[in-house]
Formats: sequence, structure tokens, C-alpha cells
Amino acid sequence: MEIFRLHAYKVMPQRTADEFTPSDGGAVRPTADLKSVMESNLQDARFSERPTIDFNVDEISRTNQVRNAVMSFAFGEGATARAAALLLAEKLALAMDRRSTPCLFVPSAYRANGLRRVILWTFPRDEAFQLRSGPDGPEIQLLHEVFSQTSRHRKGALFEGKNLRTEFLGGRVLDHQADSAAREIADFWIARFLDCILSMHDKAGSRMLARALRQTSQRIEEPLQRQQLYAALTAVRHSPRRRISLVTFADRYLEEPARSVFLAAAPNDQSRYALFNFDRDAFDDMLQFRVFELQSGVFVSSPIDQIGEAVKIEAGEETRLVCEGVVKTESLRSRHA
Amino acid sequence: MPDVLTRAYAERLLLLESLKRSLEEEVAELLKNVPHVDRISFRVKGPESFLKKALDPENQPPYSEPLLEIEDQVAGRILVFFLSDIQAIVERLRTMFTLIERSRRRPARDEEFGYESEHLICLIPPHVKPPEWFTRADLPTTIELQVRTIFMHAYAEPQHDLAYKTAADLPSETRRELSWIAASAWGADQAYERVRRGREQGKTQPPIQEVP
Repeated sequence: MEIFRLHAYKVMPQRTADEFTPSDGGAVRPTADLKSVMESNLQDARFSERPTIDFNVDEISRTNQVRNAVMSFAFGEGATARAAALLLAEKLALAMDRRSTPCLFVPSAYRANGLRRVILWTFPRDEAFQLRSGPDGPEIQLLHEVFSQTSRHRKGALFEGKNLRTEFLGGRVLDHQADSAAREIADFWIARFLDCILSMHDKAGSRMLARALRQTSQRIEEPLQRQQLYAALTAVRHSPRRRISLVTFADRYLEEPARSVFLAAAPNDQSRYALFNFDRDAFDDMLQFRVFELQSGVFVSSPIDQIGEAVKIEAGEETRLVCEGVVKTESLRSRHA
Repeated sequence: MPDVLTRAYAERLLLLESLKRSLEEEVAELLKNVPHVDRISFRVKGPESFLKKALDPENQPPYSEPLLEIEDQVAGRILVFFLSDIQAIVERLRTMFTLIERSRRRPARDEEFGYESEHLICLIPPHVKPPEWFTRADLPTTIELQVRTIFMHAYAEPQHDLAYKTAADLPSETRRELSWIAASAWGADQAYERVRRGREQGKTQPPIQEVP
């Protein structure tokens, strides 16, 4: 795709400011160097491995201010695109509070065969040294008004499609803070600025995670791998970091080969990277019990919470199970439940 | 144009079928403990129906890219017992789908009776898309879901089967017959809702007194 429109604005945090300061900037000529830099940023961002988001549209009018602006920037004439870019810059300023550093906001538009792509970037302000050779020897200059292309606080959002009411309804985001335990930080880019929600809803994502774990447990047989899987299952239920994806779960809790088996259980690539807020009730609804069959033919079905408590698993040459408790009820059956 | 569209639509049918199956399973799982769900069904739009919709001269504006724009290529329907269940189902669906449009289809005028249903347009969630979905760029991004009561359905389906899409060209007596069926279905829903609420509040509604 060819880049045909590039704007840049210096955006100051305005969310808690007493007076609104307009963002400084406008259209920038996409020179060959600049195009190359933006292309390199695009490659580094690896958007195909980023979570998907959906615009929060009004259910009657199917409108969303950010979506409308993104589409105007993609398909509008010069003046329309300028107004849209400025609106986005101001919305970004209003989403940023004093904890945010000023940033360079760069909306860019690409085209190919009727298809348009818009990428919204923010690069946080940084301070840098510059070493120069002067007549009196080398000297260091301090550069204040520079913006980092490599900071983990840089963010991006990619939307693409055609100029139709069924298109540009969602996109992908580069946001290394999206899984932060602090809600304010996690929500800044996706919710407050882009007015989007995660495509994978919490309960659906948690059920998908549970299903992937169940499939993985059926596919791996090595006891240590299984132990790792069960430890991961317990850990995720108690983790304070609620926002996860199948990939972040695998990175945090699993080692090979369990990791690969687990990721292969995802329905597709998009769902593998889809972020969601872990919902323990929905998860437990799918994965409440661990069931053991002993050599004696005895089945033990234990709530996950009771593993290590009432039900003890002892690893060794053979895995042994010890269970002790007070009998509450009993019944006769033709087969185990 | 029709041939090209027909071919293009035929090429995607397997993918749409796969999406349909996945949606059926997911929605059944989602609603498994929700009371008063009579049935859940999904369908893939048939090629003839797709073509008819794509080329319908009444489309304003006409579809420029029907393969992307027609939103009910895969659609689902959930039938519930009571009127008040509709909202509960919609809220449950919101836990899985991003809704981009919601409309209550009902006759425009209060004194008219006819087709009623809750229509939702939802974005297709990532986890229900078949892996091959991502190899193409011309697939829809949305599906349609309808939520209605059994009585709403009891009016809508036979009427649909009779191919009465518009009432305008029907004889007056037939229109009155259909309105009567719709009014009866509407009345039955209202009555069931009253009975249900009465039962929930621990009392029964007084029976309607027959006029001597």
C-alpha cells in the first residue's frame, strides 16, 4: 500500500487542564525518508500479532466520532482530512492527563485498489543526547523536543477497509500498556482515545481460554507438562493482572512443548492475540473440576480449588493421589458421574 | 453482474457454513443456563436469496459491494417464551458480541399489527471465525441476530412462507386476516407476560370477565 497522507501534531495532555491548548501541527509532505521511517515503524509494530478492537458505535445511528474521523481522513478531500486529523489530535489531548508525557501524534493514510488504511501513531516525548564534533573538540547537545520511535509507550492503531457502512468498524492496536493492572493506564489508548472496546469480550475470552486448556490437557501426557498446565490454570485464576490473551497466558505460564500445544488449540490467529479481561466465573463454568482415574478404578472428581488442600497430588515415579474428608452424601450408580 | 455475484457467493458458502456451525455452538454455550429459551437456530443465506437481495431495485442506495455489505449472510434466531426475556437475551448476547445496530421491528402505527422482532447487527467475534476466514478480504464483518417470542415467530414464519413480503398488493380481506393473526399473537404475548409477572409477584391475575 502506498502512503498518500501524513499529518503530525504535538499533543499536550489536556484532560485535567484548566484551559484548552490547541494542538500544533498539520499536514506533512511524505518525503522518501519519511515514508521509509513510517514503513519501518509499521513493520516493527507487527500489527497482525496485535489485539483487535471494535468501535463503540451508537446502536441507532451506527456512528462513532473517532470512526467517522478515521474514515474522513482516509477518504475525504484535503480540508475534510485536515479537520478530521485535528479532531483526532484534540480528542487524544483530552484523553491524556498529567501522567502522560506530551507526544507526537501522526495520523497516516495509505491506499491500494479502493482499499484504504489509516494508522494512528503516538510517539512519546523523550530527551536525547547528540554528540557533535566542533572546532573545540566533541560536544554533547541536549535535545529536548524529540519523540521516541522505539519507546514502549509509543502506540498505534490500524484500521483498513473500503468506504462502506460495514467497514472500518474495528482495527488492531499496538499498546504495550493495554494489559496493565492499572485500569486507567490500560484504558487510555483503546477506550478513552479510540472509543473502542476489545473485540474479544471478557466472558467469551475466558471460555475460549478454558476450552484451550481443556484441549491441551487432553493432548499432553507427560506428567510434568500436565503439572505445569494445572499450575498455570490455578495461577491465572488468582492473578491480579486480569487482561490477558492466549499468547500472554502462554508466555507467562507455559514452557515448551506445552506452550505450542496450548497455542495450537486456539481457534485462529486473531483469537490467539485477542486481549480480554479474565472472568473467573465464566472460566470456572467451563473448567470447574479435575477428574482423576486411579489404577484401582476409583474416580476422584475435585473442585480445582481443592487441589493441594483436600486432594493432594504427590509427584514421583508414579503420581499418587491422597484425598481425605468427611463424607457428606453417597449414592449408587451404574457408572461414575 | 448476477453471474459474477452468484459465483463469488458460491465460493464462500463453505466458509459461511463453518462460521454458522461455530456460532451455533458458541451461542448455545452462552445461553445454556438462561431460562425460557425455546430454540436457537442459525442459517446461511441461500444463493438465490442473496442474489435477490443484492439486486433488489428497492435498495436505496443500491449495494455497491453486496458481498461485503449484506449483513445477514449468516444469521441467527433465538426464540424465547416471554416478552421480557428478549431484553435478558440481548444483554447476554452483549457479553459475546459487539452490537453495532439494534432495532425493534414493529408496525409504524400504534393501531397496526404485523411483524415484530428484535433485530441486532453484531460484529463477528474473533474466536468464531474459521482459520480460512483470514485468507480472504471480501468476507462480511457482521452477522444478524433476531430475538423474538414464540408468538412473534408464530405470526412471522407462516406469513413469510406465504411469500407476503409486502402487504400492499394483497386483497383487503387477506390483509385483515393477517392483521388479526398478528394482533392475536401480540395479545397472547401480552397476556403471557401478565401471567408471568403475576406469578413472580406471588399472585394470579383476575380472569377476564366474559361479557354476558
